[in-house]
Amino acid sequence: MTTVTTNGRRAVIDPLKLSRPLGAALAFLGVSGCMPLLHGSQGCTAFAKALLTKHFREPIPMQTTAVTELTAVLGSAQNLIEALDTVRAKQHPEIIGVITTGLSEVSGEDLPAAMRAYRAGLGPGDPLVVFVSAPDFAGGLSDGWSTALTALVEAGLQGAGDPTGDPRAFPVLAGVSLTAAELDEIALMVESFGLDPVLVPDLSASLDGHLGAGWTPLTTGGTTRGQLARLGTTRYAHAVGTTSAAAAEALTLGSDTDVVVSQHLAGLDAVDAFVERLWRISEREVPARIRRARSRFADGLLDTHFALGGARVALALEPELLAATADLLACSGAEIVTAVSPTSDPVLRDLPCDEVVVGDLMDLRERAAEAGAEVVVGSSHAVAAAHAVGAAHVPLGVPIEHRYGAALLGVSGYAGGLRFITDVANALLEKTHVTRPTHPFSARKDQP
Amino acid sequence: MTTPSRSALFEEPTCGVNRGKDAAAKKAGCPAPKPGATAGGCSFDGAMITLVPVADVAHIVHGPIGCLGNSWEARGSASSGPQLSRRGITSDLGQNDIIFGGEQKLYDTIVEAAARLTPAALFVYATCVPAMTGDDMDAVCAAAAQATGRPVVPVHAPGFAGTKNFGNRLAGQALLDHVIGTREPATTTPYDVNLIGEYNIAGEMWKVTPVLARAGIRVLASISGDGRYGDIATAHRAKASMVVCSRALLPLARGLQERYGVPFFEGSFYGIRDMGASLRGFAQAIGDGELAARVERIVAQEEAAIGAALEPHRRKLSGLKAVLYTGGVKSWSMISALQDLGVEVTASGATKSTDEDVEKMVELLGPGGRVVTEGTPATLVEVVRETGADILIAGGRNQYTAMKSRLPFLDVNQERHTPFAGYSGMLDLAVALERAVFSPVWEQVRRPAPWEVAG
Repeated sequence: MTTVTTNGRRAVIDPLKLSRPLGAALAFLGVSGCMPLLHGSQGCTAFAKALLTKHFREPIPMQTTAVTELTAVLGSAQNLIEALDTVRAKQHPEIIGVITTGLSEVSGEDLPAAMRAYRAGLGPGDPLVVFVSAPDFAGGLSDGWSTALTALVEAGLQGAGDPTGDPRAFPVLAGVSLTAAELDEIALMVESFGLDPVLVPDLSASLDGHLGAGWTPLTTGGTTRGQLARLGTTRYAHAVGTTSAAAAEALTLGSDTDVVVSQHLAGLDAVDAFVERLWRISEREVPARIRRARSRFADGLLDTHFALGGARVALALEPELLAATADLLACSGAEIVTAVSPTSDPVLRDLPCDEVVVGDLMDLRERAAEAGAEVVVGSSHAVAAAHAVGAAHVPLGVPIEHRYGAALLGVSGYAGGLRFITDVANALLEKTHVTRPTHPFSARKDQP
Repeated sequence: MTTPSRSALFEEPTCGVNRGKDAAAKKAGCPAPKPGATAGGCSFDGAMITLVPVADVAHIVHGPIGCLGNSWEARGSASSGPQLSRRGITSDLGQNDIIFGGEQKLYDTIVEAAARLTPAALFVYATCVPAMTGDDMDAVCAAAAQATGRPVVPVHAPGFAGTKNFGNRLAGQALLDHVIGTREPATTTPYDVNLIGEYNIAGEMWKVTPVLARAGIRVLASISGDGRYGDIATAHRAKASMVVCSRALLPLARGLQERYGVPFFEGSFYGIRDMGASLRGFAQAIGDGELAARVERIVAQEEAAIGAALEPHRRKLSGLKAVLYTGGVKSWSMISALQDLGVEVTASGATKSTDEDVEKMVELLGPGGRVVTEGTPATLVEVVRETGADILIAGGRNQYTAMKSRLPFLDVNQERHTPFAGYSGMLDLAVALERAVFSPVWEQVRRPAPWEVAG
């Protein structure tokens, strides 16, 4: 049992929290032919777009309803309708993700009603319009992702016009923390058992950093509208991460699909449980490639435990990534001396450490310094804290702006776990200073 | 918005657009952005861009998390001393603060930030949500100033007020109303000047200040790159102001002139010709013959030195064609800088430019040059193709559009990591252009894979 505390401060200094609309938009970016549309001031979109552009080093499709001082007061539903019409006429998306913001939520308009009216006028050839409520003032990135993913699953179940499900299809509802590299390994594992992975959403097909034929104004890949519509027809599905749990529940309630939720897929136990399920469902032998990956990971645990054993690690991550990373490092012998989460989540009550703070990077700075942390794991915003503490920084989370390859990071899977513990162990090795005598009598008197 | 009054803001003689309007059109303000087809930041973003470079101030964002959480540590402005403005501070309004009001939370946030970070002053930025719920930010700032014994400056530029440019302008107004004129400088010289709108991106102001120092010109207040609160408070004692590449801060310069008699001129530190013009601008604005003579000597020396240093680069770059897409004043200034390097600018953006900017731009571009008024990624790629340009030079927003189109790209906006200002900045610009255009990657990524051509 982990104690979940807050810092008791009123000022947020160096925020760890990202906004809820940003999380919702990120989920929609893993859907094919999609345009996320933020219903708020133009800045709500500009900031979210700029942050994701720098993190992924990719063009990010995202539009705004451009609410102004005047329309915020007089009613902004007209902005929303005008924006939907404009985006449809200009970019012809297959899916539009409408996401509210603090601004459009605070005016108290009945936006769901406006959306229902708009949707009623749509025909079969028109784009699917998915509506997500995401006030900036309640929750953060993880909540936005969770709400949007649930809305996508529900939209798929409602539009279930295609009952001819593929018996080999195996949907994976992906949590906010999974990178393209992690999704690749998960998909590969599913595939190797003769199943057809359907990632929902699928950032590994849109924001993995690939060079296509040219620039396009919409997402260049991801879960298709057709795949969403067939979600309820599969026998089995899996959900990875706490931000996919609500969507898993929606799928369970709305279909006969057998859905299992993994809190995360980091560390030997978690990955083993996932592979075991694939093994039982498929009734196939565990492929040699997967056995090999597992044996490499096991070997890596042995090799790195000399560096990781007792290493003092501080983490500042979104709840599900915090749980995944803490479990992986604790199983490698490291000690989680500081854990900071931007928002609250049930998963925080069961971390391999005594205490977790729902707070900011000032908490990370103060607590990591006090605990003598050797390594800080977090986003680019955690670099300054790591430097202040004198700890090494290992990049993970969002945003990663000071380094390349955000899509290649991760902690999940056998291969992903191996890469991560290797990176942390290497950061510790590079940090090791020249050994000096601690007592003056031990020092030799060299001639000058 | 509580202050300043809206009608006063839209009665702006330095704005060319505004001058051409009748009374009713003036009252209506700037044109509203188009829903579903709008790019670029909001007024809050603009206010932060203008003021966050003030390095010894604690910058507090009063709003829900999105406004600061998604935007802090994103700007490339460098400080030679305090790094306080790199920290992100917010009242992080939650559901209860929306229902019961966020004033107490803001007050507590200011008091805590003052105690923990001991800033020279605190700037408090309004955002859309508390502007809607009606928090009285002025009253909270006044009370917090009393309690902390430090200046607490309200900045009323909520995002929905308008564009980024409008936010730059509102930020300038906040300095004029609350900061400038509140302190006296310890010493003065006849050559004290203000730089307005120079943000010291990637430290580029430091390529200019040594040249100014050689001419005997002292920067009294930098607004705001590597700026300090105490210096800006004395800006009214400067002998002249230079407005650097920023239309939106002209009202601030005009305010300094009207209230305190500080003359101003517009200029740019990009390019050899514009550096010379700016240095002469100071001499002229201060009206000192000795300074004018010094400036002429320095310009001659600097131009000879940089001319020689650039020679091998000019040979490499001459004949290259570029499409430029950047905002406002910077457009013509960058055109002249690129031309100084022998690069031909085939087209330039004019979305944020005034009529005067466009006039200057057209004059520089010559008869063959195109003026681009719509800056969508698709348009820019098309213009590059049509004009046979070798490179797109624009803001970071368009960087990955260029990459996906397999086009060389150079970032010239506020998030970049290379300084281009001053005489020596021209060398950096030349090297950056060469690295972009002559990289070996282009040939590789444009070539199809063997199996795509075979058979």
